[in-house]
Amino acid sequence: MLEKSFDKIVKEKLNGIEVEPPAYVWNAINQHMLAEKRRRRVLFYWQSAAAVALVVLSVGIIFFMSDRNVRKKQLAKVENPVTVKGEQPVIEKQKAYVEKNALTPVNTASATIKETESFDTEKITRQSSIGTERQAIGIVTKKSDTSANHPVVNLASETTKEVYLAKMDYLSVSEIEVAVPDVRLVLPEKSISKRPTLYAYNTVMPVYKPKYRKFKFIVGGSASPAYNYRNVSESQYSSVVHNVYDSSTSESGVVSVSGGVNMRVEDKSRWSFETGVLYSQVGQEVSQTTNHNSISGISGYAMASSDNFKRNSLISTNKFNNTMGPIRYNNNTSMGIEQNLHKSGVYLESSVNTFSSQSESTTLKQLLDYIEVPLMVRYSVLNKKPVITLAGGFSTNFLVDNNVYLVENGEYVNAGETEGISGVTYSSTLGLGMELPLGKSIRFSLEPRFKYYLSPVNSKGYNSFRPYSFGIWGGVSFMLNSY
Amino acid sequence: MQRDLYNMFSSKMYGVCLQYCKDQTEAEDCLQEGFIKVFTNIKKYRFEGSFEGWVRRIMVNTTIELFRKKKPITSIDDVVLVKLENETLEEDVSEISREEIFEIVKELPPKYRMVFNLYTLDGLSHKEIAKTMDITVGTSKSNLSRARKWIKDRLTERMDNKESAVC
Repeated sequence: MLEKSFDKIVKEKLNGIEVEPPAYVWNAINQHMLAEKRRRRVLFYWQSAAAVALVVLSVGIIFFMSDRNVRKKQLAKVENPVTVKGEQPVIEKQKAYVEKNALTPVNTASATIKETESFDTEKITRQSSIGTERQAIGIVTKKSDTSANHPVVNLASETTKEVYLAKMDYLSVSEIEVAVPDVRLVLPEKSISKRPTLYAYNTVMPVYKPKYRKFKFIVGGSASPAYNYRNVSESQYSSVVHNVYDSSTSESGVVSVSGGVNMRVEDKSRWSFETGVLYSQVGQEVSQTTNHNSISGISGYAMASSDNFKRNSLISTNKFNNTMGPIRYNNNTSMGIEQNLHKSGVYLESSVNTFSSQSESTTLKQLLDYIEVPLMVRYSVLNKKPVITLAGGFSTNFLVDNNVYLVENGEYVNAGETEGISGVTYSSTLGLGMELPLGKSIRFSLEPRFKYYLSPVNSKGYNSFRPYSFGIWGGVSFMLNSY
Repeated sequence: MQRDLYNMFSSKMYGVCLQYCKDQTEAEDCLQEGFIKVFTNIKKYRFEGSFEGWVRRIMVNTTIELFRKKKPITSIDDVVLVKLENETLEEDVSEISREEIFEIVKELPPKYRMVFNLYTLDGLSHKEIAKTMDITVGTSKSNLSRARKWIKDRLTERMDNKESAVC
């Protein structure tokens, strides 16, 4: 009893005890909750993205699966195929056009197919009466007659037909002709490796007037950062490196930006042709590291990095030869440099006797600016989303500017130009493009391109400076009206 | 909203944490962790019983979790029941202020304090305490009786000090 009473009194005394906690406890709680909120938000975004991806994937799978199921069903409906015998009137050939949309079956009619003289089929079957269901009407084999390069199927009916080509083996769209006016070919999504079976069902639907779109014109703009360097002949490289350079001088590539407008013409095939007007820049960087010579005993002058220029072989002579060609400095370059050095309190006396060991580097950038007119051929490797294309072609490059810049503390000083540069050069380009259509008329593209100059940029024979560049081109293009 | 809830209950809950934890730092940790649990799980509150009771239970559970992590080692022969014998104890407890009781309970050795709090303040049985704290029922009983004895001794000391101060 004593314990119970004791406990009760203690409980009453302790009940409702309040102690104000330190302020930093709330701060810690608040920070934790904010961090948790952020974490949940990020998680939500990821989950949303995953859900969207899952939905897209599911829809894609269902789409493909259902498409296959339909085809299997259609195959199952082929019953009692009859081998075509006897002569059937052959209707004037007309090239079929292609539509991938689902077809609308209407009334019944009869359709027969006949093997033409120029078409060698192993077995062509028909349904004497084709109902509203899509049915098989024949099996097409690859043509053995060498006089024509594609098999032809004749459907002996004057009514409008839709022919469903359930299996496309070794045949592409352009390889099939159906000899019935206004016949539609419906192609399966993918080619498979067996002989194609022709399916048809009758329609009296309004005659489909195909729009013959022979050409599509696409215009757009693109730009790319590109890494440029050069290929020089062994002899040229050796002569420059051995005769002009010392161990402290080196050449390296430069990064530039290219861009422009282009126009492409596509026909119905996978091939397209492209041209345009591009601005491009090639060149190289020449760096020389020299000792920074401090002078002892002369007060009032501090040595700066530019002090080396006077003794630096890159600019100490009127012409400095390198693998691209001799650099001709502007008349006022040396003067300008000297003035700058004086302004910064730099001692320019060349007869310096005492040195310190600090080193400085001098960089010259030789840049050639071109207007490029490419002529490229492009082939669609994959005609889906994204469209994958392979491109190759040649360009004529017109020199529009030729500059040598002295790079000092990130600033470019125009110092002169490279001598002996041709006005026109020719280059080749290879690219692997990826295009993502946005709607019917806009396409985004991304294309890694490699460009190599077929002719050297120098006009003088002893130099063979051929630039090459690698860039990732990004752009957008718009489809104009088709013709 | 969270700030309002914190302002409303933080003082009381900090008092609870101080009773159950071995020191102020541990109590602050428990208060922080407890409120984070409250805010995170507030949707799980079923409106059964008072909200304050729900928050308090979370705080106590947090202190128990911490106690388990830092469980003091108790030997088997430590299980000894001590009976309170002083009949004047009830009067002594009544006379002493709640702040003093609070201070004494805070100073209880951890292994006694948790059992005492769970038994006296939360009304758990020895079986429940044994299960919660992962100890035997005997240890729970022993620790409770030792806690009472410990509190009683501290009370007696204080009373004696007061009397000598008066004289």
